[in-house]
Amino acid sequence: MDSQLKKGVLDVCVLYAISKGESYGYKIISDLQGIIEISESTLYPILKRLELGGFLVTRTAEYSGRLRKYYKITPSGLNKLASGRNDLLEINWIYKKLFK
Amino acid sequence: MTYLEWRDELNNNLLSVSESERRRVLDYYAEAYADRREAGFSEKEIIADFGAPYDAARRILSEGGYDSNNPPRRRPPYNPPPPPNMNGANNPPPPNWNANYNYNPPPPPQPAPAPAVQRDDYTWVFVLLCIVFCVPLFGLIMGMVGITIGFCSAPIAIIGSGAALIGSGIGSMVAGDFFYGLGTVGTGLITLGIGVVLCPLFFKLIKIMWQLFQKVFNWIKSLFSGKRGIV
Repeated sequence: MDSQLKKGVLDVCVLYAISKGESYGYKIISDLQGIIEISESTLYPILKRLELGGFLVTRTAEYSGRLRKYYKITPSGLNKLASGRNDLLEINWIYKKLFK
Repeated sequence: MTYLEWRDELNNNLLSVSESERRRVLDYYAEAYADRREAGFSEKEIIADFGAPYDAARRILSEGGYDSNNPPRRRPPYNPPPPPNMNGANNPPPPNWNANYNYNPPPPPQPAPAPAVQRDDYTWVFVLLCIVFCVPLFGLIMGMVGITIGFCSAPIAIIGSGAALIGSGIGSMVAGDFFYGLGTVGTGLITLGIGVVLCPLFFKLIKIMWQLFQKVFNWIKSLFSGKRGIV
């Protein structure tokens, strides 16, 4: 997949995974397993970019004697998710028009 | 390579970013490592999945909004972990992992083809709808047509019979039976008057009946089209 296109799709996927509830890195990857391939080193820049953009907020909490960072989607993130969903629908429509 | 060695290599490859950001990345990987360990993965599997520290650093630098012309400072020699000894079968790779402990995601699920709709399957529904709706509707329409014909013909027939009585009465008067003829003419006039009075009344009733039918029909149509019409 084209890197720019994949970048946008990954953003939507990560926001979708977080939209279901507060989540953390490994859970996000697990939730997206079977949908799209994403590794820790791919996820980190996405989470950072989304956080800087105000699309998610983070909090750190103790879990099993260690710290874990939790990510929560913001209203702005929900808007971005809705926008990304429309983009995917548009791509799907174009695909169907071209190849089906 | 152990996780601590991997982390040190990553740290060395991230010397171009700030100390706080480097700390943040290392914390992120520490958390990911701990979560994977809790999920049952071995250290070797996790290191293999993380990939080479240089590649992880390069991806973080290139996609994290840093200067793209600022690659990791150095790339130490990195040897990927050898594939596990599959002969022993002590530590077989989990599903979707190959012998080199690289994760192979399962192919995306293909949408199941929509079952072909056979028109014959809905024939009985169509027949049932015809029986339930069309037959009573047809009967209602035919009944209303009958009423309309009756209401139209009745005043015409009354007027006609009145005219006939008047003609008959005049005939009787001419023939010599004056009083009988006069009575017949009077009866004819009354009948004719009743017919003339009933004529607009019946026409009005017919109009009201068909308007009512139209409203009922529109209401039924709105039930099927989903638009609630005003009855």
